[in-house]
Amino acid sequence: MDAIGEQSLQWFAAERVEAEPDLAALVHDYSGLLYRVALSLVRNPSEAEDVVQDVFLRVLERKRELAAIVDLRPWLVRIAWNLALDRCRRVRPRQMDDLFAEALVSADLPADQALAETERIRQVLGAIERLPGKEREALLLSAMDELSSAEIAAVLGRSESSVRSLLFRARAHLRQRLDN
Amino acid sequence: MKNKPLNHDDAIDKTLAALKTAAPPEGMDARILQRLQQQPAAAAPFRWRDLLTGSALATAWWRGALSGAATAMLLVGTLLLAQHTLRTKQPVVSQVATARNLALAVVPVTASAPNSPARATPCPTLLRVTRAVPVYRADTLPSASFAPSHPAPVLPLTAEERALVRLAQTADPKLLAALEPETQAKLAAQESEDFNKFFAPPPTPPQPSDNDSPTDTQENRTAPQQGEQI
Repeated sequence: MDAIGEQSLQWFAAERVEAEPDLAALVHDYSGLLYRVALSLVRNPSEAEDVVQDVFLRVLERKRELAAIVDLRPWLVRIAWNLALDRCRRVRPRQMDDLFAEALVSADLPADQALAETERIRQVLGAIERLPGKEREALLLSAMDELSSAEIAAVLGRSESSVRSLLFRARAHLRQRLDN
Repeated sequence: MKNKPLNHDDAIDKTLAALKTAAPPEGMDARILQRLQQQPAAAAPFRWRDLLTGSALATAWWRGALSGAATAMLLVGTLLLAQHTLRTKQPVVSQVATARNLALAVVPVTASAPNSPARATPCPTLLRVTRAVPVYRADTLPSASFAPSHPAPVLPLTAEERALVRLAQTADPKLLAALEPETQAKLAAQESEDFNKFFAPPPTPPQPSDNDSPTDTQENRTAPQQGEQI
């Protein structure tokens, strides 16, 4: 009887934990990834932080649905991606490319090398911006180490082979554009 | 020229690596958590789908909705029943009596003679037409028309009935009794017997002897003549 009672208590406790996940733990675990995903699109640190904050606000609104979500990471990345796309429509990323490229260059480099590196990164960012939508998404998401190809496929709603094909074509197109 | 693609790939990899290693600004987690704590829990948008879940609010909502629906069904049922009852209590217009569905109610009446308590034989039974009673077919009328009704009032007597009643009250009981078939039969038999006795053929006279005077013969001859005159 005691065993049954303990099992029931554990079950209720587990259900309670499932129904109300710890938001602080979620923020701690996924904020970095979501920030990088958002930054790859909006290319502005403060905008990316706003996107991450909006993601967790959405999570707070759908707190009851969290227990039913099997894999949280693709779900959160998809939300961040869509929110970043919405923000990109309002803020033109090209205006931020220069500052963003400067921020990406290592501060240890000499000034002339840093300038050349900044210019090269700015060109690459411009070329990425002009890629077809799906190829650009696959390429940027593949930059995130935390995401496997299966998770990228889940975020994009495609198969893994399709994602690999997109990545290959994205690189080919990017080379062509940088050549031109 | 051979290094150019490599340079492009190198630039692409460096850019992607820079995106990969971008660190979030310091204190971002704390700011996000602070913002989440400031967000009121009630700010969640109302969705009908949430009402179907098993939270306490949803349970209360369902309880209220079910009780309301049950109350509404009871009210509607009561109203329908009341309307049905009112409709059936209204008089049926089709119950207008017609000559076709009228029948005469014939009630047997026993004429009583108040002044003859010692009467041995009962009075003759009379049939009296009391009133015209509508007769309905059971399959053409609603069941409510068969509700128990009060007895019909007694209709006034006809002229013949009044004459019979007057006769029973005022006439001589002997005369009334003479109306009975048995008494009449007895009287008729008595009268017939008297008649036969009176008009019976005379008994054959004995043979006249020589000693009889002629005057006796004359008397016997004249007697029938007197009876004929009577």
